[in-house]
Amino acid sequence: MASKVLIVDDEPNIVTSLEFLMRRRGYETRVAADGDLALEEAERFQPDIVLLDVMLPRRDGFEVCQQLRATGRSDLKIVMLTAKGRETEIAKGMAVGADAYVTKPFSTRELVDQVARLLEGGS
Amino acid sequence: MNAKAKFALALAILSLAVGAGVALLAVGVWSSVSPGDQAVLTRVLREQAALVATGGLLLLAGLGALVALFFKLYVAAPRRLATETRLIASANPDHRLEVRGPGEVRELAVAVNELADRYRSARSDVEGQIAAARADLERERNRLAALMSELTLAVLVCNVEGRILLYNAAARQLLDRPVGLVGLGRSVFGIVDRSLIAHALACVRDSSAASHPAMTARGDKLLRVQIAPVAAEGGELAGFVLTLDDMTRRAEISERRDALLRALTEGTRASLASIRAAVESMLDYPEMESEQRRRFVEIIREEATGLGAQVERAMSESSGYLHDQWLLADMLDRELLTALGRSLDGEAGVRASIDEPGDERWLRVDSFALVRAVTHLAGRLHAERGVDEIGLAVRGVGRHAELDLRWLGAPLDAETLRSWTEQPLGPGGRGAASTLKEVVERHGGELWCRQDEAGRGAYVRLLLPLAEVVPGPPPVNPAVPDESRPEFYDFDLFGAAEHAPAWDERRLDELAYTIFDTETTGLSPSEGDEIISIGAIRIVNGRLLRQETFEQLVDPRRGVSAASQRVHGISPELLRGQPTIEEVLPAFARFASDTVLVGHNVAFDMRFLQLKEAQTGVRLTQPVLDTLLLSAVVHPDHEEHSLEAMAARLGVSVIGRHTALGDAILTGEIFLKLLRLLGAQGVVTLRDAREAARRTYQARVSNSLYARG
Repeated sequence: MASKVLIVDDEPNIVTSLEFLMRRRGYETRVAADGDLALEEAERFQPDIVLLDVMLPRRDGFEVCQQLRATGRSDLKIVMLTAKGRETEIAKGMAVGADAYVTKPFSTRELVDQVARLLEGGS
Repeated sequence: MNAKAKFALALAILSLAVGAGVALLAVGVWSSVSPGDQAVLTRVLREQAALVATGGLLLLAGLGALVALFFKLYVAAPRRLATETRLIASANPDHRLEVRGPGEVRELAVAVNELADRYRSARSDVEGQIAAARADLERERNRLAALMSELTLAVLVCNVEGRILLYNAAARQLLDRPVGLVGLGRSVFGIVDRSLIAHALACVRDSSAASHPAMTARGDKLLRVQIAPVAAEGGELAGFVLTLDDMTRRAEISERRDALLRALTEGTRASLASIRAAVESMLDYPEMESEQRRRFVEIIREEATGLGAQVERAMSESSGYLHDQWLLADMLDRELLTALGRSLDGEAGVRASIDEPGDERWLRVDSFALVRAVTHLAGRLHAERGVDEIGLAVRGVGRHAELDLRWLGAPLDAETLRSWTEQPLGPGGRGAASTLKEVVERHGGELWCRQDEAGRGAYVRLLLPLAEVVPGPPPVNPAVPDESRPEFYDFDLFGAAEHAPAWDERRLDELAYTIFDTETTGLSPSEGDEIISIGAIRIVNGRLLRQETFEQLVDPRRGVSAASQRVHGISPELLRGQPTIEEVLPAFARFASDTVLVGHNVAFDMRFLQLKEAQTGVRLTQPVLDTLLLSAVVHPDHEEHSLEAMAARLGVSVIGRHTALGDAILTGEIFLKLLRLLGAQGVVTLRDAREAARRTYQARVSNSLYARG
């Protein structure tokens, strides 16, 4: 069965690429454009991995991540994708339970590899 | 015993002695002769009684004259000398003793006169020294006061207890909200947190720094406080100096700059991510269908356009505060030209002629850097093009000013001008701007060189931003007339008692007082009359602090009777829109906190204030003194204790009566005189004063009862 990827970002231009890349690798994808929708979609869709932007309307990525970790499945992988690149922000992302923290702009190849690794159970 | 009595006594004793001698002689003669001779003697004496009496009297008179002469020469003269010597010592050092009388007395007079000469010269030496020292001190104090009042930085000097010994107008302007917090002898801890000061002092002690900076917030203001300790002889802490700077605007700027930088980096990253992901997707999957490829290309174009716009926006927004904004200050164009002219003449060796600008414009410039940079340019012109004379002019164009340097000769080509503007300006620089180019950039300006319109000369034009708002110098204590030195300091408080004893035990001359007066709508507080004005002034260390006053009209929310309006001249229109007593009384209580309240016939004012206790929640619990009662203590024989009568008696001039503040000031001046007189009567502590006043109060009450009965 194909792995399920939830893409959470409010910028359609990056979503287009992420969706394309994930589909190309044969993953099933869904998109959520803000923090609240992300939590709803995670509940409904039961993804294996979440690509989570930090700057989101309504509820920021850190909060969504924390919420997912508090209530969701333990094997869910979370990759934080963000333009916030300060050390303190990265530390916070890891602290609230992200499996990986990727700053924008990123290499698509590396991202795709990282997602594949996480889905295979690596880190 | 006075001289006359002594003289009479001496004369009497002498007469008695002579009389007794004669009598003894007579008795001796009488008893040694035979009875027959005794009878003869008796007869002779009886026949010659007149002669004997006359002889006796003559003898007495002779003796008297002798004694008188002796007295005059040897008793009265020394007395005269003593009195006059005392006169020299106390009142008139120029007086000299008359040298007359017998030799011994003359010698004494000469010796005293010699001593007096020496005394006078020694005294005038000492007086001269004292006067010089005093003048020095006064000059220094005036200089200090002038310096302090000129400083735009707020300065507070405090003793070790945190009492304010000195403050300047800037401190009052920055910190005196609510009014009354900043004042001599007041605690600084009402303004700046005690723990912050303790922390800063500890930091200074533990480091080699002379002062320690800290930030604190007051209301909507962000203040930077620099705290430096003041050491006494022996090294222990005597107090500390605070300088305070309003950082609100700078903090705002730096915050906005941070936000801009963040938005720029984060926004750029997001866009770059979209572009990179799209490009890499296209590169990695060249076989993708054309619709998908078209979408990616569209994304790249859109994001690239967005990036450009974002950078543009950031640039325009940042131009105002991305530079070292606080080096820029507003300056009148005329003053900048004058400064440039002086520097060109002095430093560049070029004669500068200035076109006086017609109307004045405020420029926003770092004048130091700008003058240095332009002088450098003029120096190059002089050295390499032989330019000896440069015309300076400023013209306003839109939001900018054109600063022109004109000379006769060829214009500089672009290459030369560029190389000149990139030359280092030499030593003495400040900040980052070390070339003309950097100075111009920091101002957000531009620079170019052209041939002038007539074609005979050339000019370098510098485009500089105009200041947006025209600033005026802040009003510094408009209420203080120039001739009076502002009493912003009182270093005597450095030695203030460490632990203040209870009110009653404290000496009258070391207490702080708030002298106050109120104006009211009428004379019956219990029948609804209201306060319409409160005026107050403080006395600290025996000085009336004319800078520390409180004056506030109060909206009574009712009419003002015509009779009282005639007294104080406050019309109902003046009172409309003024704060109510609920707002004014807490402010007054703050102003008067920690001081003894003083008023004239103060029971009247206190009654009004007490009736407002429940309504305002303000209770004035400190001791109260009444100048009317104190006047009765000092002058029990006078009937009249009105302010005017007391002022006349004590030599205080009456001006500005019947405004609350005017009356408070007059009462304060009278109170200071009363304090001196009370001291002379042995009324020293607050307890003494209160008890003396209470006694006269009872006396007055019983008198008035008696009068009524």
